[in-house]
Amino acid sequence: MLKDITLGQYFSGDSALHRLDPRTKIILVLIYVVTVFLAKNLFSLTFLLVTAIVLVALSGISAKIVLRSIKPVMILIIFTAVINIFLTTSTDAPLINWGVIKIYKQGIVNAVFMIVRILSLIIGSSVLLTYTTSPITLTDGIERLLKPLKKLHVPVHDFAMMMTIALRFIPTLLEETDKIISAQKARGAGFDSKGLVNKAKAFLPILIPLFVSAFRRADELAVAMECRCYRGDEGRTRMRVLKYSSKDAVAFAFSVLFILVVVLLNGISTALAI
Amino acid sequence: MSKLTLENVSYVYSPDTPFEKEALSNVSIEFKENRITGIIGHTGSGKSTVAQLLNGLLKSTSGRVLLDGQDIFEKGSDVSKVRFRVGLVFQYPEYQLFEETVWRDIAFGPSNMKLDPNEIDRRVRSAASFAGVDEELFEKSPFELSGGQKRRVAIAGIMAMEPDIIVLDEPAAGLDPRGRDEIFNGIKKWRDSHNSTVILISHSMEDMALYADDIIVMKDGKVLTSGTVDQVFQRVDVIKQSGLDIPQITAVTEELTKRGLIDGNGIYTVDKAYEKILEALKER
Amino acid sequence: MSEFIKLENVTFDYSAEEQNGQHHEAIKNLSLSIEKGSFVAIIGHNGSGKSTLAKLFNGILVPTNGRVTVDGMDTSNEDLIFDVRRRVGMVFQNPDNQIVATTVEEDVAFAPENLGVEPSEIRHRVDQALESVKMSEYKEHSPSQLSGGQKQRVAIAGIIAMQPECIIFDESTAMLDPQGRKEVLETILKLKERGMTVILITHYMNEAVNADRVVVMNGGSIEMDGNPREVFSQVEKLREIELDVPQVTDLAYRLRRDGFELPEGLLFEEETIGALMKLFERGK
Repeated sequence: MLKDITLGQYFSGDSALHRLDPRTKIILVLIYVVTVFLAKNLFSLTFLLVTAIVLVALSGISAKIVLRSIKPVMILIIFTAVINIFLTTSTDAPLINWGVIKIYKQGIVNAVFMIVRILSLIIGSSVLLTYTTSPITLTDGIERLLKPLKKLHVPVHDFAMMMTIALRFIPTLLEETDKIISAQKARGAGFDSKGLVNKAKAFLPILIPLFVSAFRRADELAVAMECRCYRGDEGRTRMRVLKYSSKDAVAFAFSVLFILVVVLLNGISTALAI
Repeated sequence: MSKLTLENVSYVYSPDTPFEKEALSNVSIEFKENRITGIIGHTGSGKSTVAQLLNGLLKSTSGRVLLDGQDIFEKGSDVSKVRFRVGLVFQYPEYQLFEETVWRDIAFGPSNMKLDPNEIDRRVRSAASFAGVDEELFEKSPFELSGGQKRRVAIAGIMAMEPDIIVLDEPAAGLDPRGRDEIFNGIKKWRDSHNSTVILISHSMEDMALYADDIIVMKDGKVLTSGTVDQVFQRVDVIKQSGLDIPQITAVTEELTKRGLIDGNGIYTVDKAYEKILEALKER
Repeated sequence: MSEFIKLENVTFDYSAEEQNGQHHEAIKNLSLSIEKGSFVAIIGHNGSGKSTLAKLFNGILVPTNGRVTVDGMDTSNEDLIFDVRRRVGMVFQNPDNQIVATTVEEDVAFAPENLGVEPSEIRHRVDQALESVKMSEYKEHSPSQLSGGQKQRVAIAGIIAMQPECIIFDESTAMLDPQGRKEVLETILKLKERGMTVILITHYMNEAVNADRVVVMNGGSIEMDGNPREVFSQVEKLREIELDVPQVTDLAYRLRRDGFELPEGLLFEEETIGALMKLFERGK
């Protein structure tokens, strides 16, 4: 059923990663992502993967859950690897030569690099951010990080509020979609028509009620928010105060070290090559 | 007319996940033809699951749902045909309206049955009159109507399929007393003129006392007791055990009976209570 | 007791304010004042104007003619609108459409945050508000994991955290099951005990009987106004405008009509049993 899908899933906990300030985590993820693309040899990539695994251990989230989250992107990973293996050409002698199909050593190396990159990227960023940061804290973090943009008249608060409301209503609307589909099925609606136009038409009985309901909800929510004295971020305070702590400083120190190590490892291969 | 039966039906939500939950366990129900049966129970008693099993929207984990003796999921049988024979009105059905006009919305079901246009028009008009939808509204957009009117249009949409059996999940939820009476009276009229079987899902003993012929009380995915309204109201203790509220008048007459003042077990209408008390007072 | 909300010759004409296609019932030249600390139930069928009245109390709607004041502040004065809304909170019908945040405690914090309350004070208010609706253990839950009754209690906590002097319940129990209705009603009664002014818009008579005062709306004006016994004893008049009366009230009314000596306007089971027992004793 639709409601089994969980968007931006969060696993509550009290690990070191959970306790970091969301702003720190957002910055760390950005650093991590950049580093993943900086890494260009076996040493630095291995280091990245090890870092990702260490992060999983730090988060206290079971490896099983992490592996399950990779499943949906497995096809993508395999596809990229295969393309790399078959389409890379090199001046070396091919390892395998079957007429049209030639596989070079470089191709296999590229494929392995690609797999490690994607895996580190997914594991690292989800463990650092989505798994260990509740949506509301994440939104808070984004809002406060982008605060300087307010001076440029970017409606940062409004975007954050929009995100919060969207996150709040995703489960409600998914449940509602389920219900509408069942109700229309009970009236004999078929969703297996042929042809694009007919297919689109078949979905109108679901889409129209869903939109009407979403607008009605929006209307009612707006009135309810007004009744609770909402007037944008004018004079607004927050219950949860974000404060950088020593933990965040440690995290930043580690990330600087992390960049240094990657750059160094990148250097090793150049040194070895010479 | 058609006969609907649940045979040792169990239903498990999200099997093999941490959210696994047994909604029904080994339930057998035989719905009597041409009668209004009320299925009542607390939220989570399994009553809404029963509704969706009856027309094949859900498939039982074990056991069978039989329509005229035939398993609705038997190989070769077409479940969508079952849905035309067993009409299901969901809770808050007004949220399923989508067409440009009221007429077209009521006609959605019959159109899916591929009936000819004259027959569709006849059915729409007939269903509208039972559900209490004025023909003046036919060309209006369903979204312009009041809440009560929308509800009646949605119910007409199922009645227009002229099913042998009609299942309604809390058809009066959220309506005021007037709206509630209009809906239930329409359903009664429909049953009388079509000889069809009606199944009402409800959590109000008071409503069911007034509008149902038979009652099935459910709790924790099982049938606690069933019978005619009179029979079920004889077992007030069982009703209380299911966590449902008994009507005020039943509570009062039970107490008076317990004290030996009147002979009034299982009274559920003010008329009857008045009659019994008057009788007892005159005897003194 | 002092006047808290005051309506003077208020007319509300919906043609003047057709917001977003929302339909409002009219109010005709209505005057009413609500005392501080009182518990007022407003009943009437859909379209009687009771929901429009609710929205006039805290300035969501502004009268076309006449004046509404809250604690002396005119609701049409836009500079004072947040002062009005802070004092008069409102809980709506649909539990889903009034919860803003993704966790219970964040949602309860919403109003004090809007009002610019100090973070530590917000924390304190949120904890207290959740405690008073008995939802503390759910503070980190997501709203979608809660039952209807629990969601409504969270919504009430969200209003309590604003520290209003009055809370309006606009059919807040209409979409709930009996269990949820009971939970919400208990919460309301507790608020009233602690001195909160409560305005309860409902069409459930068994909720209205708990009030100090019942106002019956019909066709945009006040049809009846008095304590529950006075109002509900007028059974014929309530029937005329298609409203229910509690079953025991109806029973006592019929017996009184036959000349039996019963107190006027019985509302609850216990007192009715007592009164009937006395009647039987006298008959001996």
